[in-house]
Amino acid sequence: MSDRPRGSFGLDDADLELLDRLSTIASAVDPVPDHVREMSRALFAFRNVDAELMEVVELDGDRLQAVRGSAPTSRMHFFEFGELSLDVELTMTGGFCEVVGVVADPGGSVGTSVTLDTVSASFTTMPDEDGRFAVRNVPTGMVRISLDRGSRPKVTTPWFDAG
Amino acid sequence: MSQLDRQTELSTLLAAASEGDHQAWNVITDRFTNLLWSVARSYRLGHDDAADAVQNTWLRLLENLTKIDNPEALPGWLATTARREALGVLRRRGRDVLTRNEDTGTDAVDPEAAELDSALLDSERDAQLWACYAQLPDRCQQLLRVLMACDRPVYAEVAEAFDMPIGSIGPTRMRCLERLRRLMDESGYTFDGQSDRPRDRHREART
Repeated sequence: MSDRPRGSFGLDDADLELLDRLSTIASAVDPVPDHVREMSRALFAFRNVDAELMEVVELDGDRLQAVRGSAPTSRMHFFEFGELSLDVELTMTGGFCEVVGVVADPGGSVGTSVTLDTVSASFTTMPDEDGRFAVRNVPTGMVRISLDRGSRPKVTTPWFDAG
Repeated sequence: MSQLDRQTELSTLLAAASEGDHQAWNVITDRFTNLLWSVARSYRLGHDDAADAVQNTWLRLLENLTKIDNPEALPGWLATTARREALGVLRRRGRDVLTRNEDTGTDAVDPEAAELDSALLDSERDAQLWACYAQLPDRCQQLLRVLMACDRPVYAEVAEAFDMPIGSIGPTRMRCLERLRRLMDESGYTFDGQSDRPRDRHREART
């Protein structure tokens, strides 16, 4: 390797050589699995193209901790984007999650569609006239919820943990 | 054909990826997946959990692609995020993260696992080095595991991403490396970078 400045970050050549050796060993005994490399590349499909990111007002992890062990457990999450707010309640049953949400949009939620993404599945639904929606049988793991509001800016939550 | 490769600057890669260039994203993930994996594994996450921590870190980068102000700080940002995601996975699994973070003297790679690992290594000295590494305290294994996974120029940023007081990173790292060298010496091997041959003290003493 040509980029080995002596004294880089206080490490001398012998230190660097030792780290190199360890690095070679680590790649032999604990290499990054190929599927993890491929998954990392493929995640690009989840890039936010045209959606504004909602702000997390509150992520409720405490309740889950408090009742861990008793089923079902639920958690509330709150997101905002300007005047728009989104409340979500996640309930775990078995290995799946039920998501119930309420969109409060001063511009009205008629014509708004709600899409819930996980890395393996996508669910789209329309909220009722009170802005309520529900999605069932969501696999556990990371989820994000996007609101497509027609001509108004599309918004999305950051990824958060469902289970 | 895209001109992007490992030598391309991070600022260029991030800008291209945020414009939708998948190749730029591939270069970024190819360069740093090993770092994320190492951070996750340094918290003793199993393969599936480590894969989750890597995935979640990339999802965080994707949602922040256009917001990275200082592209050169990306490695540190990734290491910090991977660490947080690894701790998140541990928390979800209901394990006791707090006691793990203490330097309890237990081993992140335990000596038995290191012995099994050694079957994968060609050189006896490498096997010995890994066995000695396995005897280091958690904190040392964690720091060295992450340092060995990153490119030289980003050592400082990545090390600082770990929750050590800035001033203690250098001393901790040096202490860990010294401890590893001492363990190697005691085992009768040396690591002077000159030779692959083990130095057997007893044999030397006899001759």
